[in-house]
Amino acid sequence: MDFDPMAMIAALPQIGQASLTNLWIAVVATAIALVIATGITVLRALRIRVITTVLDIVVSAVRGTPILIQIFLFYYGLPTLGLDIPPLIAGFCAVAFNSSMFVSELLRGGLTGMDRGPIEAAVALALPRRVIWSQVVLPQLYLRVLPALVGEITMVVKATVLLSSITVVEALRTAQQLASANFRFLEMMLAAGILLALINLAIAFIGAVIEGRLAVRRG
Amino acid sequence: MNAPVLSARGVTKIFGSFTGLDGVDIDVARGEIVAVIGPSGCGKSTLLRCLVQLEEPNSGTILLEGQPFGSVAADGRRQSTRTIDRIRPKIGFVFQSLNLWPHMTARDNVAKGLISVRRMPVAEARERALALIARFGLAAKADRRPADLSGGERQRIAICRALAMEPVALLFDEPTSALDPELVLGVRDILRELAGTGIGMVIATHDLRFARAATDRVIFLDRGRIAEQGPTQATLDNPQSSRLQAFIKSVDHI
Amino acid sequence: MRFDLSIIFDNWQLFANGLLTTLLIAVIALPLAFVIAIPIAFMKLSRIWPLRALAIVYIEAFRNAPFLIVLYVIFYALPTLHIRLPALVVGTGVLCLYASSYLAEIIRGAFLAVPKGQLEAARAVGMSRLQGIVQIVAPQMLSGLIPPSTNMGIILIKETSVLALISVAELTYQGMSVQAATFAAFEVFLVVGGLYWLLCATLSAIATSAEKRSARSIAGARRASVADSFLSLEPRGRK
Repeated sequence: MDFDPMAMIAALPQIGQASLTNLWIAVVATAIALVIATGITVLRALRIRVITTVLDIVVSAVRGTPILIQIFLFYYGLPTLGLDIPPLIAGFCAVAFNSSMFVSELLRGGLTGMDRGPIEAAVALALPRRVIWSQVVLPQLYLRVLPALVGEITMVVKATVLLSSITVVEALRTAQQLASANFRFLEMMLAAGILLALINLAIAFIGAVIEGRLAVRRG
Repeated sequence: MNAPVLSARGVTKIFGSFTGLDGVDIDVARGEIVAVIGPSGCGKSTLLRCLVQLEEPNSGTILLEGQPFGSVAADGRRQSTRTIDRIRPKIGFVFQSLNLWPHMTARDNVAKGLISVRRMPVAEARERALALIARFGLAAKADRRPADLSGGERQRIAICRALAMEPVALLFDEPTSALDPELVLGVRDILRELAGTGIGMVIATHDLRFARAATDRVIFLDRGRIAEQGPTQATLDNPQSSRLQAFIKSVDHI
Repeated sequence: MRFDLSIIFDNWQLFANGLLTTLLIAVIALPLAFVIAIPIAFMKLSRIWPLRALAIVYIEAFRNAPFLIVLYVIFYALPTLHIRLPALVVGTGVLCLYASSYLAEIIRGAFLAVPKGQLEAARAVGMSRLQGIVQIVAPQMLSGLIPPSTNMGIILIKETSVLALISVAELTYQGMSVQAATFAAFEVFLVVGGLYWLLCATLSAIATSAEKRSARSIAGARRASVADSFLSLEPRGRK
């Protein structure tokens, strides 16, 4: 088998640097997704049928279609509307938008299992909606879904490699560029794969540590 | 004198740094009912599980009707899993949580061993199962699922399931813990009846009143070792060891 | 903005072919993945630590590395081993392995969810461990397997779109080529997305009915509270 470990190792620094792009896109996109998902959650609670139906359709559409298609819609579709956006921004928006739908379902799941007591007390005290949400519900909710959110970040990291198909320079694209020069496709891909897997393992580890700390505090 | 139907010497079981059982000997004669009592964690359940080889003892020999079970007598090597699986049903085991199979009817629970292990034809196995269940007065409920039976009924089905394999010994892990008090004497009657057919029994229990009422001999385990043993009434009325005295006192205070 | 559906109709054959290919890939990959997942799940449950270690490495590799990169790695590795296979086969195979790693965890979870005593009771009447697992534990695992497995099926259907990037002529690839020719991005990708959505929704519907039929769940009905209304998880008044 024709495999050159040295070529793979030599590529690590460059691909490693590029994989930081994947990482920051994932982290920022997930953060924005959390904001959007929170908005969706609050909107749902208003129980205005039109809004809820629209939300249901959008969430279902985004969760039921491949993220690659959504990336293409943003990248190829927006220019037809006259919006000239750099690939990175288009890709970032697609990823953030996609993630926000999944996070909204995470929040929904977190809501059903939450402690009813503090909310009942707040409602009984006739506290304004905004306060109940920001002081009682959301803090508790975010803590509850934190482990799942960390999991979501790893999912998004994996999704960011798809941005290579719309010319965004991240780890995979860098690997492809190097490979087209040195023809060591397997080694370059392995390098990218190992680096991204390590990033995800590190994120998962951090998540486990956070979860442990939280359990100690609660327990 | 009867040769013991079940006999164990030097049973030891170690869990990491914790010694669950330390060189326990036990003999059960045909038709004899032996109680194993002691505080929680003393090793009662562990002993029963070792006797039936659901746990592998670290050392010790077990003889069932004089034949080795678990290890080859000569050199102490462990018998093959197949051999152990084959001998195991001769010692029936009634779990504390009964462990009836929820997706099968009472009758099928009882017949399952005959069908899968003895390769008995299904119809014949189900007939036998029904006959056994009828002996315990539950014929009407034979085609119900365990979830539809009461606690006492479920226990009787669990006993039938063990009896279907025609064991020579029966082990009971805390048979009265999940039962309403008025059913406890019913269990005693079942045990007496089974003893009458020659089955030797070992009952792990924390219920001293039940032990008095239902058993012939009592073994008191304390931290994995036999601290005292003897005929049930005599031993419980006149405990010799300080440990047993303390134990009886602590239980009576409830 | 013009929305010209005629572009779709003109190219309907390409889309139909793509859809069929996607369906073919999914229908082959998912059951096969299940078959592969079973031994891996039991390897991870095994008391023999090298088997456990192998299973863990397999599962973690697929869970942490992006699917596209794993696809490329295997795609480029095969020729160096002098194995020449069409992209469709490679793609379906890697997808199958990818799904198997998740399914292995699902199977393992379903197995562990069955109380330990069930298997012990089987052994107490003389069944071997294997008999007990197959005849007593497995039937009790089934209802717990349906929701996560169909979820995996939906994920698999969506993941097939990645195969377009190694030029497998499935639905996304057809969409890409029509878009490249016509620049009708919205028309093409909205319709393509819609077709994927239909596939996923169908699978989801089948799953829900299968779940209803098999589940004998004793649903613990929690008393509805004011908090539920506030969060809008349950309607006020009658249900």
